[in-house]
Amino acid sequence: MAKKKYIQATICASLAVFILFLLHHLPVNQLFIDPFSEAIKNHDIMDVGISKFRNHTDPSLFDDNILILNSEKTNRKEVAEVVNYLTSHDVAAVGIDLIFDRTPHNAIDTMLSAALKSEKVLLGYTFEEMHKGATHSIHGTTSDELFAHSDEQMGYVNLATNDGFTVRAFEPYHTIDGNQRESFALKLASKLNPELLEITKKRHNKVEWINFKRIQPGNINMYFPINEYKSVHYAFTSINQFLSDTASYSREYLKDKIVLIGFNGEDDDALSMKDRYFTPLNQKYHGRSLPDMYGVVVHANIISMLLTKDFINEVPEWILYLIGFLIFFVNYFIFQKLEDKKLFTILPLVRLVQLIQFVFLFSFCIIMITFFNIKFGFILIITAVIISFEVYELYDHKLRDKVSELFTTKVLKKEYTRPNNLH
Amino acid sequence: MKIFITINKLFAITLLLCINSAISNGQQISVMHFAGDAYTYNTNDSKVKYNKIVFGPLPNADKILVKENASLKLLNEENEICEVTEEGEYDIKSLKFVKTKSNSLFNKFCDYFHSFFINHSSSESKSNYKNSIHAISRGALSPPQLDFPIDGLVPVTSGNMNFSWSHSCDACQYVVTIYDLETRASVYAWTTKDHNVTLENVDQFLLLNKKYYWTVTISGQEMEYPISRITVGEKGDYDAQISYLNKEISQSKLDLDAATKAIFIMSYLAEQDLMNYAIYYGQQQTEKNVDNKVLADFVERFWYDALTE
Repeated sequence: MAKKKYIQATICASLAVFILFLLHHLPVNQLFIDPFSEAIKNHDIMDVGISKFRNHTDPSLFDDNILILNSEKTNRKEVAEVVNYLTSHDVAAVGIDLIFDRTPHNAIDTMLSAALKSEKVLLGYTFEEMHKGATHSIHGTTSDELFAHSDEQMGYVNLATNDGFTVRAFEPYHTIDGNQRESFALKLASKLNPELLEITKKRHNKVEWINFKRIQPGNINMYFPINEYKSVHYAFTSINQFLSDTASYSREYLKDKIVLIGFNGEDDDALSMKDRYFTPLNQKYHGRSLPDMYGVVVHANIISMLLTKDFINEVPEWILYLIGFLIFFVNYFIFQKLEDKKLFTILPLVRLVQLIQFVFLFSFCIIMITFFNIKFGFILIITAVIISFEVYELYDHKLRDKVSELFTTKVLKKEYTRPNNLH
Repeated sequence: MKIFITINKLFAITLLLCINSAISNGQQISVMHFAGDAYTYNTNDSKVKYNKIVFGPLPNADKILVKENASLKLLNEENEICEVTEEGEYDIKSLKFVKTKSNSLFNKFCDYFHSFFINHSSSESKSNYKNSIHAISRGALSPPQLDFPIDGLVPVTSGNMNFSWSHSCDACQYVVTIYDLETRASVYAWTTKDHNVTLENVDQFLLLNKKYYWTVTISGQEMEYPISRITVGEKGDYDAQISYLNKEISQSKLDLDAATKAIFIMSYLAEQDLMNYAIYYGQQQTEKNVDNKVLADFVERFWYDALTE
């Protein structure tokens, strides 16, 4: 009898996983069966875990490897001066998240061009891929050739998004014109730890989730939903301030630092929306909110993640299906037990069980991403919980007889039909 | 009294008919949107006069001329729309107006429910993540670089003069102004989002052999802008120079291909200190010989050298 139940549960769970697979790969909006992805569309379990459950006030999060300089309203003379100063003070690298356009060549541009010749300097550039039918083209935007001296001194700054304004991932490598190019953040991080190039390749992840831990610095950002706790995770100042305070930055302090120069608002009090994006660190992870991080700080977070090898590992899809199978399998017995008791309140009880499972799985996924950097595909497993009772009913009322006839042993069949014979 | 009422009624009916007839005969068409160069003209006029299209009701005309890369959106009295995006001449009466898409509450609901069945990308799937965020800023907005004409004599062909500049900016509004070099007074100005403009009927605005300078500024941006000092060449001078050089080449009985011929002519013009003539000639030849990469490379290099000198 027990064996029979296990076989039935296994078949029911397998059928349910098959349905789950079909639903997951249906080329339509899964509003009815995928309520979470719709109800909180463009949101991810990672957003909740990272923004609400991580401790952002932990002082150990301060990354002393990185110094961020706000370019404010860019003054090329100041950029040239600061680059000259930094490259002569043993910094590991100077990453410039700015594009310098073509201008009539003047003395300041010549000065900047000379400063950017240093091997320690890395300039950002962007590329845009266009797919039109079978044709595929890449168009890049780089600084003028006066400033961009060689390919080695350039890294792409593109960040991966699924909606155009939320950053959760990046590509460590991208093939442009047949050549494999490294991203801006990876190139900078590899100046401190060259092994990172090999490590990222070995992970075989075309796209890596960014393990956001460090919040946008700057006084103007010290409020909800950006940095309510007023945490400081990066040394941050403006170029102008840095140049007037160089005496405060000793050679020892600057040694082996990665200095990032990029836009963080026109001045200390400007909450500019240029080059600013939503990240999982945004304290308001649903509904309308303010973008919480400038591009250069996103790059800083990637560098911090790479240097600490603090990657987010994604659970493969087959494991998610296996978890789905287990949910269906366990629920088969729970639902059968409830049905056997023929309680009036069976449906509310089923929903209560599903609610408990939801809370458990949600908490489990949050704990895994928050504390263990393991990302589960929450939508898939929660869909298994949601549809498990409907699949159970379908199987129990419509398919069990047929399945029994087809797959179960004669004994099983006999036992199953016995109640009818008794009548 | 009855007669008086009947007369009144007849008068009212006549008035209504007159108004109705006036409306139906004079179908009012308005310009909602236009980009690029488009003109209206009347073929019945003894001397055809082209009027540049502006926003608002179309003037009394029967034809529209839409130039290359220009587009128009017209609206008639029934709130129907006609979009003209192709270059050419159009008879206003034969333009096809179509009803605008209804946007009723029912349609909005239909669209909303329809959206349930449109594929969407799950935020959990890495394959949906594309490199479309460019996390970078412009390192200071630089002033536009004046590409053409550069300092010197400017060719005037068919009464038109072209101006072009380079600048990387997503949403800049440019103000192109020509000034009198002597008095510093503004002679002509445009506001555009493009990177080139054409001054038509040059002789109406600029005097031959008089010195001017031109500049491109960005609306709302205070900075030091470059200028170019230009002198308007005589009408037909450019054509005369080119035909003289072509004659020289044909008399020399040298069998020159397009690139070599262009190199010869451009170098000659450059030696005569007619850099704008040389660049303009190069541009024309590149447009004529689109597949000639050697010629295109040479013209680009020549132009770049002239700009950086």
